[in-house]
Amino acid sequence: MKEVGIIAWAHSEFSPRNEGMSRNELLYQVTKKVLEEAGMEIGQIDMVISASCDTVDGTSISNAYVVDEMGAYMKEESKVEEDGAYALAYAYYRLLTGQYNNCLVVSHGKISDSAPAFYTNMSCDPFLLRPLGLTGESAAALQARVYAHRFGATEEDFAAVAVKNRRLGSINPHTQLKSPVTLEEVLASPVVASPLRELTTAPVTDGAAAVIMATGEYARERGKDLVRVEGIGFSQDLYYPGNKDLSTSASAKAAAAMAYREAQVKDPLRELDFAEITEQHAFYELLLYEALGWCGPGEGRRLLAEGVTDREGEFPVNPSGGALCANPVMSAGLVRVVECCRQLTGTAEGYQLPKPVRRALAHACSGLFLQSNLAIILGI
Amino acid sequence: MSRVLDWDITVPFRWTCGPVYGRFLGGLKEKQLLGFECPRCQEVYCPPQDICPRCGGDFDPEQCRPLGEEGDLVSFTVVEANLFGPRPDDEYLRRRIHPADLGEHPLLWPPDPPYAIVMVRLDGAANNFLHLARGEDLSRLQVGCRMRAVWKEEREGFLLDLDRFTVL
Ligand SMILES: [Zn+2]
Repeated sequence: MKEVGIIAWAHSEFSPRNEGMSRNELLYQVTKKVLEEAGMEIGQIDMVISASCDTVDGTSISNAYVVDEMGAYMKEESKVEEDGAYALAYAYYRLLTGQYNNCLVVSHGKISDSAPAFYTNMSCDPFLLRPLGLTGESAAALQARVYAHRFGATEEDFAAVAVKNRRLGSINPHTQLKSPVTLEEVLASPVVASPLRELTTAPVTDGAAAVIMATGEYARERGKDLVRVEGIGFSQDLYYPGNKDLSTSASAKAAAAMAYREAQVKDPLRELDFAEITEQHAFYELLLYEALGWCGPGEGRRLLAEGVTDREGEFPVNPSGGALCANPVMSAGLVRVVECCRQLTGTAEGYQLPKPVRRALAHACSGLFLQSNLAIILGI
Repeated sequence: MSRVLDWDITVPFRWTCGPVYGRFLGGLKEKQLLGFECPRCQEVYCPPQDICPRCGGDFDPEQCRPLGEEGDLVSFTVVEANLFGPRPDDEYLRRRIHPADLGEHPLLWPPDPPYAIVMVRLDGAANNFLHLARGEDLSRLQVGCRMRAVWKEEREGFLLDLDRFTVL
């Protein structure tokens, strides 16, 4: 099969409210930055795949208004109403066709211009869920309770994830929350929706991200190093939360299985060196250790407690600090890809993993109750 | 200097319920929690979907019967943070009703915290029903406890005709 990978990456500054910049400017800034990183001009880009969300942007067909800033003028452009990592997946399959040499993948979200609770409540159907005031927080809380009840996990187990990731994020100069937190601080933070607290939930983040993808031939012709995409998998679960087992994520399992099959990974914990996952709630990380096949059901907290997934462990997870340190809506998953690229190319300055790394998994998700999941295997 | 324009988005909208949801919501008006039997796998769903979430069977809106009003609590969350801000006045909420369809309609706004969202497995159902709990029940909720439906006095064929579940 054709070789396809990533030749350049960038993301914007992350902040809870970017006072100075409109969404268009955020997107323009990141587009310029990624072209600079690649040493390319916009005229050399074959196509653009973007990711954004109508309710976050406050306009329908949210890509139409930002075409100029993403450099898509007079180019083939398609939008994905999912995290930017899903746009990367589309770009990957298009590049595999051999019809294109390269693709700019961009995502943006200025969630502070919208209102996060309304945005997640709007994603609920009007008959059975929206009248309950369900939001991203209360949905995750219901799932956390099912997970905790089935496996005997506690609030301390969830808090331990936040402690690890905030500690890791504290040495990442690119992230938003750069201060470590203690277990006591996490457990004393206000309850948002029980059993979830402020510090076990990702912050509100404005931001944008971009990568340039290319075929192996194109990268070699131009003397560019390629972070190879070795496998991609994605999957959707049922919509209504009452119809599925919330103690795991069947779609995360299916997505990982599909990506492992393509990349010929049989034992992920041995064959991969680290992972970046979209843990927008602390308990997601434990649940995803299990769903992505790194331990058995209910064993996520053991993996964490044994330090396996810490910076010095055999299989570091979220060495960047993860989404609990910065959660740019529509870009959190694409930022996981960017963080994998930094580690794989030895450019995670200040937070480079101590062991050599050659192969990683990036995970993105979308929808309430971890409905949709995406796994990407990257290698050098 | 950076300026901000404050301008909310109010889009009048009406939702066609379709035969299955329509029947289910109509049942609530009659104080009935209707379970729909999948013609293929015979599992009973409350609430239903248009098609069976497990086997893809096509639900017949007439193939339903009232389940009891009790079930087991599978999960819950007590929502403490007010993420939506204060409820706007009715005039504002009425503007969101479709102009072609004005009349008596529920004015939809999320409940005021603290309140609970509960997941209840009704006796005889194959799935869990998400609804609300409030008041003194908030401190009595425990996974596995028995819950019973409490109805509103005035009902209009809407999810919140069922006022809440209460702990038995
Ligand atoms: Zn069925």
